[in-house]
Amino acid sequence: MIPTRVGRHLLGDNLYFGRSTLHELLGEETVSGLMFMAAMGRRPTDEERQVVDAVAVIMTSADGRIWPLKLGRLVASYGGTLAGWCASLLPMEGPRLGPWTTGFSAQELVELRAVVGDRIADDDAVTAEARAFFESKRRVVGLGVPLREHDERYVALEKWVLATGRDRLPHWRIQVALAAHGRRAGNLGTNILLGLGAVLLDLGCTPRQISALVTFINQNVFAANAFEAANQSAPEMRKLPDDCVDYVGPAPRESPRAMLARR
Amino acid sequence: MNMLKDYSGPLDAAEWPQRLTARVVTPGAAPRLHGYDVEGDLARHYSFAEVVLLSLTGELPTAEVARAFEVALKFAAPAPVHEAPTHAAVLARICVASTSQMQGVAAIALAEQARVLVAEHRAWIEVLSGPIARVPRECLAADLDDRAAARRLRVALHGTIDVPALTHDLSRAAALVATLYACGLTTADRMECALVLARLPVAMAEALATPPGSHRQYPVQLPAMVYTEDSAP
Repeated sequence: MIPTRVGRHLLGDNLYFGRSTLHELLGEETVSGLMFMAAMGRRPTDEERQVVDAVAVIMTSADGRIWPLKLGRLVASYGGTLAGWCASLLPMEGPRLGPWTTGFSAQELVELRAVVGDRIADDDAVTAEARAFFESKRRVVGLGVPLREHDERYVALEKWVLATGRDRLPHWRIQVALAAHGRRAGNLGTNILLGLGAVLLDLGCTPRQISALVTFINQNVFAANAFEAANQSAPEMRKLPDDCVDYVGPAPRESPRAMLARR
Repeated sequence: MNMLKDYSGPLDAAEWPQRLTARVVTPGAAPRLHGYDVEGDLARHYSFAEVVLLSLTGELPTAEVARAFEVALKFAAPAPVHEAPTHAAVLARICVASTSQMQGVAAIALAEQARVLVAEHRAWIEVLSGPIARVPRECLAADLDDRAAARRLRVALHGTIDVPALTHDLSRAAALVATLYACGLTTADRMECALVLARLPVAMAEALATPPGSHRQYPVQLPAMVYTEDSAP
């Protein structure tokens, strides 16, 4: 027996995490709320829905040249939207790049939060532990911004967090301390992933739920690129001219059997 | 509202290579694979299994290694319908998927299956890199069927290469991993590639043999799924 909480098809209705889709959710729940339910297994509060909507908008970085989006466009160039969409999502489930990485950033903050313990209100203790944590790690997921000085999404999130009064919540404060030390000691900018990890931990999500949630609500960027690329079916996406390729592999050689046959 | 008339951003400001880099296949009308002429040399003198090994290892195998690799591929090939990859491909067929969609489904699931199988044998792969002092417990034959399968693999490999690991009382999967390792696929990623390659045609064959759209002939209750509103899944 495999238990499932996700859904049940009933005669005349459907249940989604225990809620009637047609009598409870219809007209009440938003798309991002449904995605929240997919990751968290429960309906969001109004506050959570607001946070998820803000995260979805902030994470909308949809330039089709960005690596995973580009790979989705390559696959979709044969006309299949969903093939491209699925392909672009597949490499996301890891700790290096993309929305799934948010959970790994969150895990860093969970570890730091555990060290800080009940000294969370003590700014000096948080700062000292953030410094020690940073120095104990070779790499902190969420610190470091490629190609630019600041992650514009983090800057926007910071403003939004201040405007909504979420800046005194524990994980946000911890990430502020960690980000400050990363800037000072490592000259590292703060990536959106660290900020999002903090915001979502402060909502009560676990790191794994955060990976799933941020990826789920970030679907618009993958879908939009795959859809457009499938519609375009651009020949230059399907194949670049030969002269766009530099070959650096082994030099031409003859196989032993070909040599033998020649003799 | 469009405040950004200038569309240049960080991706435009950075320096990037202007060309793709090929490390295995030469572009152009007469492709070479790791340096060998595909159409004038490999196609005439080598089997597909040998070309696969060349692709994955960068070097042509000996004839004995190639025969052992073929044996391993054949042992890896069965992808029965009750295992998730073929089951998923069959379901794709039932959903009236195109062949490419079915292959995509099968390939993803086979790749996941291979990833897990290889991960479960990570300790074994490390052991295989040197003299075998001890076989990890999870690699030992679990029952008579397992033991018999490993023995059949040893028999099938006769006259190819010596795989010393097969003298141990191994499970079928551990014996297969040891054979792939002996064929030069010494890393997890290459081993996973070989497993997917071996199984994809079989999974597809099962899917293609399924009538498209046969929803009512599919056992939807298998395995049983029970709906619960318990808070913890």
